[in-house]
Amino acid sequence: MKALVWHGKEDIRHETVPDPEIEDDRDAIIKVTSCAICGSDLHLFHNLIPAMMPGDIVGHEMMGEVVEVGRGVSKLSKGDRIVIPFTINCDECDQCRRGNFSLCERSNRNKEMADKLYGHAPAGLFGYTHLTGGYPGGQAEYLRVPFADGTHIKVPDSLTDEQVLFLGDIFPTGWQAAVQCEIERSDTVAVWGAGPVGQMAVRSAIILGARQVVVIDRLQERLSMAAAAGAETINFEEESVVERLDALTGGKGPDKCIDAVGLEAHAASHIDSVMDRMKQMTMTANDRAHVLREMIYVCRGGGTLSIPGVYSGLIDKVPFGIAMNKGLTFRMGQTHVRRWTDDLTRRIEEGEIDPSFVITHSAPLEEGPGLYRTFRNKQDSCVKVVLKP
Amino acid sequence: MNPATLSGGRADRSMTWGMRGARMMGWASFGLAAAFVLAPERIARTFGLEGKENLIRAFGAQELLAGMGSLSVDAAPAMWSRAAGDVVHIGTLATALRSPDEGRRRNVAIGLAALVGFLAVDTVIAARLGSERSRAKGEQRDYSDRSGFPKSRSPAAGGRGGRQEAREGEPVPAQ
Ligand SMILES: NC(=O)c1ccc[n+]([C@@H]2O[C@H](COP(=O)([O-])OP(=O)(O)OC[C@H]3O[C@@H](n4cnc5c(N)ncnc54)[C@H](O)[C@@H]3O)[C@@H](O)[C@H]2O)c1
Ligand SMILES: [Zn+2]
Ligand SMILES: [Zn+2]
Repeated sequence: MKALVWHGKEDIRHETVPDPEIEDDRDAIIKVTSCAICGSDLHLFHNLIPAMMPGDIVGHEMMGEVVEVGRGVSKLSKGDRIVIPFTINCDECDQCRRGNFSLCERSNRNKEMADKLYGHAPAGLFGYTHLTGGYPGGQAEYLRVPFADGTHIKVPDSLTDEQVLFLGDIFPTGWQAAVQCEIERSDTVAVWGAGPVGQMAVRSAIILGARQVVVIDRLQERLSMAAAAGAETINFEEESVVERLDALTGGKGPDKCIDAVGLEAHAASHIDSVMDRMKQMTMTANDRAHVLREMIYVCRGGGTLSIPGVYSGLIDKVPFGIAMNKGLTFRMGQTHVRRWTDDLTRRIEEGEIDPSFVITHSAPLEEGPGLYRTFRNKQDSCVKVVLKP
Repeated sequence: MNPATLSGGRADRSMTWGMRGARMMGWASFGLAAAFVLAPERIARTFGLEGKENLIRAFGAQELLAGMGSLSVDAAPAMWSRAAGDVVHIGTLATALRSPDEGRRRNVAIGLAALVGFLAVDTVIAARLGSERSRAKGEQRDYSDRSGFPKSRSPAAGGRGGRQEAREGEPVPAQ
């Protein structure tokens, strides 16, 4: 089959690879009908997440049709149309039963290595690093779904691929980011990053009743998309984020802050982020923490920082003293996708939200590598790429 | 132009020749850096730069940084700094052209020719990377019509329907 294969930094190729096969009774194989490129894929593209190996198939936002099921699979049959959550779930372990699906204790097949590094390993993920199991991803014609009974979301036929595809990742990610803020009706929620995750977080915060939502980015087209939903916008290259946020909140600061940027934060001309860039370049630190620092500083006392943005390792100079003295709450994590998807599927069906608004590019799979570039370079007003194998 | 090939590369390969070039020059930098740092005396002798061993070592350190930069995600600025470094190297080596020893003068001439070549290559790659990454490529669009809310809702300010809010304590849906 054809798939997008990781070969190293900035090196993704459309190649022929062996078809996946059922390896375990609990596996299923799907024929991928749609998949997407995620901001997390860009971190892999930049080789900032450790433990990728040349030859790994990438992609963790995908859906398709079941073409084969293992003998131990009871909830799926051939022909079912399913979206795949990017977290692999056994559905039986203690964490899965608590709904902490991104922390499944059984799906990470490199658990021993990950336990050593993380203390306790997170779940297996598709198309991500070998620290999360090294499972082949879904930017491919076919995908093997391990623990298939727990690792799928059934979707109604009345909805298009474009409407439901993001149930596997960015929609629940933006949603969880907002839910973790425990939004109250008087709240101002500030969202850093108007990428696909930020866009979903903005809409989630609005649905969950925030009084005011403010979004921060430097890309005009993305700000215009967030404004379309009703968010105030701040272009951090043109104005001071701290001053504008204070002005918008009567000097109090936002009650809730969401980091939808992660470890590759840009900054206009702040010395801290120039230093971070140097360190990342010389491999003396791997994460750039400008957004985290800004959130800690500007957030209202007693507020919450919700962090869907991905960090991978060590960060430098986080003003923890400020966070402590302001009594801030930190919430973060890879998304517990399936905890939210029944509710979110219903909201899409009822027409409360249609996540396809974020798609700006749709192309055949073989154009994927070129579109990684376009998406990374933020060219052609690209916000979200969907690929059709 | 097809958005997948906007940056002047193939659609089915993410690497463009700008990226490839930067990577090649990055490795070349490591080679040079090793020579500068480990054998400055030998280089000084070859080109008649005796007494400038420490300067050569410093060039080595700078090459090392340039190499790391060229292999990083921010290769374009690193390539420009390499080009600037080439100019400095040319300036330093040119002072040795006055050497009384003919053999050394020939070495210097060869060295200068190589450096000019490097300068040209570095400049071309830096410029190429800059244009490949330029945001000006492709269309500039406005997405003010993409609210994502099919039913009209009053923007922000609590314009939500009657549905119960999701709360964290909500039981996990059984599947
Ligand atoms: N927690 C999860 O489960 C999960 C799931 C999906 C994605 N993610 C992560 O979410 C993050 C965003 O993903 P995305 O798909 O939206 O990526 P993206 O790269 O398209 O978006 C990031 C946005 O942040 C903006 N940005 C950069 N520096 C900024 C700054 N200093 N202030 C404000 N904005 C800034 C960029 O301009 C860009 O628009 C990534 O780190 C991704 O890995 C996490
Ligand atoms: Zn993702
Ligand atoms: Zn589990």
